Amino acid sequence: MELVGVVFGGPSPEHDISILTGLQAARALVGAGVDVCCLYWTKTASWLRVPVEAEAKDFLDPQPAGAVEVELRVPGGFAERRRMRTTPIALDAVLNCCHGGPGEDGTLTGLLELAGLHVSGPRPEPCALLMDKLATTAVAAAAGVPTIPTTLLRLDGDGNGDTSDLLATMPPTPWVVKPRFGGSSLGVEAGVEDIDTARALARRGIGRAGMLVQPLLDGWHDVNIAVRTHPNVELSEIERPLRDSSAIYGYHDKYLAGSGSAGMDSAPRELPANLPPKVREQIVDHTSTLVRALGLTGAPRIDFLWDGDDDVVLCEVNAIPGAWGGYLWQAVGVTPVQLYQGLIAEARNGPVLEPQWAATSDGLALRAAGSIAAKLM
Amino acid sequence: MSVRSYLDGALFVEHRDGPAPTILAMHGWGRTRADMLGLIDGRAALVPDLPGFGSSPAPPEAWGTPAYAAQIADMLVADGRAPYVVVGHSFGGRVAAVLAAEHRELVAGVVFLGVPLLHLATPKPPAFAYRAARWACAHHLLRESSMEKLRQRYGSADYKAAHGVMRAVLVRVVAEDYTDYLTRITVPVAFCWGANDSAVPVAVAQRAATVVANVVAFDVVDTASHDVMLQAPERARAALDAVIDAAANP
Repeated sequence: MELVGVVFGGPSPEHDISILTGLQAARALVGAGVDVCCLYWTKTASWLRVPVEAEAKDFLDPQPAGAVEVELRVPGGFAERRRMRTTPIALDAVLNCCHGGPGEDGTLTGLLELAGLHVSGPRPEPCALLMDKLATTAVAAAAGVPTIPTTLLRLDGDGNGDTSDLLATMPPTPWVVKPRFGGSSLGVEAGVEDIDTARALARRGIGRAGMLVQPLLDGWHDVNIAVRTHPNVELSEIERPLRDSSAIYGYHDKYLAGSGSAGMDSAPRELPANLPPKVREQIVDHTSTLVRALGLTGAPRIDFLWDGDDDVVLCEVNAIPGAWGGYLWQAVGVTPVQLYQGLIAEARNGPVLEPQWAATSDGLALRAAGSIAAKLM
Repeated sequence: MSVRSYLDGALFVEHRDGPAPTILAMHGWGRTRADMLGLIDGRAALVPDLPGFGSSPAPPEAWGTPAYAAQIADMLVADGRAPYVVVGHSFGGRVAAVLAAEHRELVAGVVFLGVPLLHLATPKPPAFAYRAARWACAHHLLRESSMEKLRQRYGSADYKAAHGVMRAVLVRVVAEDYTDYLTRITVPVAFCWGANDSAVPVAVAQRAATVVANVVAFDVVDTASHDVMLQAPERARAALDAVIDAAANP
């Protein structure tokens, strides 16, 4: 019987939401008869194997009851540590349920692949691309997908820098000012009306890597769709999330709004979204284009903005969306278990990559190099 | 709706125009200004992310509440719409108490929502094992990583979630008592509390109300707990209206 590792948590601002996604997936897979190993990546980046029966509240304690320390060996994969013994965990595939930060930006996927594991979701390169909203926008625009006019605001290391020349390229106020890197609308400010505030945002924490300045599309609606790529490209239903009175669909709307337990499943939404056929067609076309242009695999969610009339623009692409967008898939008859099993099958059956050194690092350059001292002259 | 930075990027603030008086609404520990926006209701308002929360950067050192209040006062002076009716939830209410006592020219009234204004009993010292470990760590007899595990075991939820200087801020402010500040508040004051508030029991509000000179409303919401402005926004707004009316008709 195959053993599937469900990985969640991680040193990310979306750590808690990732726990919910991971526990849901693990519980559903166990219910379907899959042998599951729950691997919790802590906020401090250590690894714990936790019981499949764990509940969300157990993770309020940094060492949930029943947790066992695990190490990740590169190469070699996960191994469980008990007293003086270390026992390898032979995983057939890993379902990566980490949202945000290194769990979603390709770092973890790359690390697990180097460890010799088959990992779900997009490969490291697309993950890194999707985490960079500026790069994603550029690739999408080049592929012909409408995007929001975007200006990069980046100050020097001391938080200074002349931005007077940028003003000419910026859209009219009010602006949305958002971090270039990151997800879940964290650090996004809507309604900025002056360059001093935008500069101040670019001087703090997450903004130092660059902030994107975009026009605030007041009155536009969020419309989201998910896509999965195994065994064939398949699109989910389209949703229109319902915000509170805020100008953007933020972390609170996505994960904490709605009745019942927190999480995206219960957030208020119109599903299926009531859209004109022409708009629906555009969203489907753009999504198919983005799958090719961005090299998407797994089950990413693509977020658009719709003006209520004929226009749709790309907002962002989420490599590993909250709850894997399960609610979007259920609306087209794909159960959560089918979704997870598709992701696992895609990971397990993915192409085995040739080592990147194989073609050129055969020692020829080293033998011909002579001494390093001679090269310094 | 507009987001502005004040004091050279030290504070990020939701700035709203509307009829006077201008409302200053301050959120609780570990939260953001989003908690308070439901109270504004078309009025002129300033709703900051307090330093260390939301978009506002953490303070440069372990500030106590008076330093927070001083910075907020600087922001209000820069904004120039004094006097303000101040609403504070939990930690934001601590700041409101100090602001109203120390910067009286800026404040026309105060609404306290679930605010730990005073200690009903002497706080218990930490467990002996924790105090011993803290001593050992201070004397380099215990590794920081081991100490952190103990902090995670013995600390409150807020303490566990706090990082860097904000932990030191938390330790400092939870030890504060505002009885002296409350006695110096002369403007109209309202209390709005959740009956099921286990973080700050109603008894705290009852005791605080005996200290404040000009209480114009005291409301306990049966169905609410600590986040009363989210669970019963209409009641919190009613408390705000009572203070606005009293401030306009002294």
